[in-house]
Amino acid sequence: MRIAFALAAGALMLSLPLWANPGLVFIAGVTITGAVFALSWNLLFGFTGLASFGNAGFFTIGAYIAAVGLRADHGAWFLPLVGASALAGGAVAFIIGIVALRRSSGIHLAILTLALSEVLRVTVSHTAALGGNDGLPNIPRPRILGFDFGAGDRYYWLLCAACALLAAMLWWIVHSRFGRVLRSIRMDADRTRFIGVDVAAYRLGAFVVSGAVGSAVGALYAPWSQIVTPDLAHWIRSTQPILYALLGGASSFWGPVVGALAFSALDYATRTLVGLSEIVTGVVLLVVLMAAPDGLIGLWRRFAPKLSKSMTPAPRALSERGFAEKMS
Amino acid sequence: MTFARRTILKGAAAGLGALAAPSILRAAEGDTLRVALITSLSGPAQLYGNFIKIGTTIAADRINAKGGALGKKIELVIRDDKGSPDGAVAAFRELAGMGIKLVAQGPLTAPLLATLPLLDGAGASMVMVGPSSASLTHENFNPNAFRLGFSGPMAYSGFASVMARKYPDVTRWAVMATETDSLKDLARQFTLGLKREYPKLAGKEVEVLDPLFASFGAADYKNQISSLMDAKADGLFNVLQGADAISYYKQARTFGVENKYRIQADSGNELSIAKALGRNTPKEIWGWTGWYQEAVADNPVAQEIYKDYVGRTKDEYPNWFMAIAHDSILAIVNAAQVAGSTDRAGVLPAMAASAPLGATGKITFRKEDQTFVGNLVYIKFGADASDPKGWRVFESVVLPGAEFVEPATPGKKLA
Repeated sequence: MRIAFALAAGALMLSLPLWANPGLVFIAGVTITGAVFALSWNLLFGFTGLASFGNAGFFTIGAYIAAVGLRADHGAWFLPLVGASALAGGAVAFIIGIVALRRSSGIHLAILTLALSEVLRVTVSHTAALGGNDGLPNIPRPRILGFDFGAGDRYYWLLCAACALLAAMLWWIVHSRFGRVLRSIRMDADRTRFIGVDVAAYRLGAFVVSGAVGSAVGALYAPWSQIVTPDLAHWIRSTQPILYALLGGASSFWGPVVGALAFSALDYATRTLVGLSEIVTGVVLLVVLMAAPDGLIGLWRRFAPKLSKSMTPAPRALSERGFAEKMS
Repeated sequence: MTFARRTILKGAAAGLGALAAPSILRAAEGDTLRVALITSLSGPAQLYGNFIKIGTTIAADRINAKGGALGKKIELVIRDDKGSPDGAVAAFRELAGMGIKLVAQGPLTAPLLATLPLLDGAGASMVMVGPSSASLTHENFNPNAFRLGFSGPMAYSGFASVMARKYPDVTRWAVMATETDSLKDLARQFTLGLKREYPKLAGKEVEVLDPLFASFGAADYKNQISSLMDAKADGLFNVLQGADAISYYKQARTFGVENKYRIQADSGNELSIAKALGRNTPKEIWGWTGWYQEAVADNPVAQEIYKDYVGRTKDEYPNWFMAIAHDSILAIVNAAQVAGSTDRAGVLPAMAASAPLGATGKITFRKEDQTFVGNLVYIKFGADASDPKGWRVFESVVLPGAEFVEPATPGKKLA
């Protein structure tokens, strides 16, 4: 059933340009990048136990690298630009992590990353070559091997493919030995250290991966939005992956994706409630978070057995699903 | 709680039904003439967005009361850009997908820079509601958009001219500013204006002291105010905006700044200072504003709009964005009416050639860069114990904007 649901959701997202309003397609593209960005943040929070409030900084680094490259007519080199953005994001994360993770964790790390992201925002807003406060508009979409992704909705599908690839990579990391060690650190860092694991190195590794993926997503986002501004590094942007993860369920790999989709759907549905949109969105989120502390995925897990019971009474299926849930 | 297969099927059908709603699917224009408004109804510019919304609503109602345009009633389709480029792009793409060709958007620059490149592909015409950034009509000029607003060089050159006319003996000026690029640029424009206008109008050279800066969002201005009290200057230009300005004026009052300086000029807070401070408003402040109802007492359209606004809101002092927003809708709908369709090929030349009478007077744009060259308005207001509000407007000055607008360099950065 989960596979069927995932396939249906994937088909729905891919077919969107064929039947939906272009505004909804644009929001879908922003949501997809936001979802993968949230996955990269949740690698730290949900799987390593590290809270970063400044991941928007990595996103901004990637977005500006892609923006500068594409505006300089290097659209043919877009995929290497995304790779370069990932390397730059990873390198910055390594430098920050090597200092910050050794000296701080918990709320101290959160505030430190928040401060560094704000420093980046202010620096970019004062850099004339990066457009200052107005940012860099008119970012062209790439043209790879003569194939123009600026035409029609082609870039949307490239965005879907690239984000799916990044999400798959993160899924593989989370389910690899590396990911299992990260979860062990999240559950009990002292005990993990006691059995011989270099906790600092693993935390640094997670921070670098998170920074690299966040930056790569930023690079993919720039030609979609076609404008980048210093506000990408604003602390409010850093709260988005947190919100998505908490709404969807931080303990599940796919929780941030579900949260991003739910939040965007709510935001879109209330867009015409001028003056009430934020209130309605806020109240709904509050109710969801209070009713489901484990997010929407937690809610699904609570009700899915009853649903499944009414549809497929075979006890063996229940047993298999329970095992799969534990592994997800 | 159990879920039956039938229940799930019903839910799926309902979901598909919702997705089939016209607002989500691509839609075409019906029997109304739809005009889009994209503005900030949440976020930091919400205050201005609300004035823009009511101004455009008044315009649509007035046009409809006269029979509409192109044989149809006007229907405003309003979207919130949330103060962000993403919000603006999502709104624009949705509205363009609905077949809307006439768009009003503002006042923030970044959301405008995000949507301007989309106009061409959507075949849409835009009027930019009130943005001040010079880049919109210079390096980021777009031939599909007209700016109905005042550029910084235009507004602050005019302001300096008013000071030179009214206070020819005030030749030493101090400047107090928030340390952000945009506000420092306003201070620079005013300074350049003083140095150009005083020799021309007062026959005197003017000295402008190095600006005193405060950080954005500062709560304590005592150090800067102490420096201002020691400064050898007679005129003071304040470039603090919003809540910063209110904190500053409250603290400056206790130091007696209003008694030291012969005149205080304020960059852009206009009557929001008096509304916030009431009886504690300084004795006299000159302020720039985009529109003031008593400054255009001879304009019947302005007076009708003002009465309409007061009737709807019971607020007697609208922000100038209300009037500019009204004129934005009037200008673009009038252009469609003149052109006989909403096609861009007809609307854009009609916008350039027409000059309908709006709240700001004849709505005219400079041909080269499609920037508004209407009137500039400056007001003097201050404390008045005899007024129940504790303050009143003493005087207003109207200057022709065309005389102060910067040179046209569409496609190139202003030198």
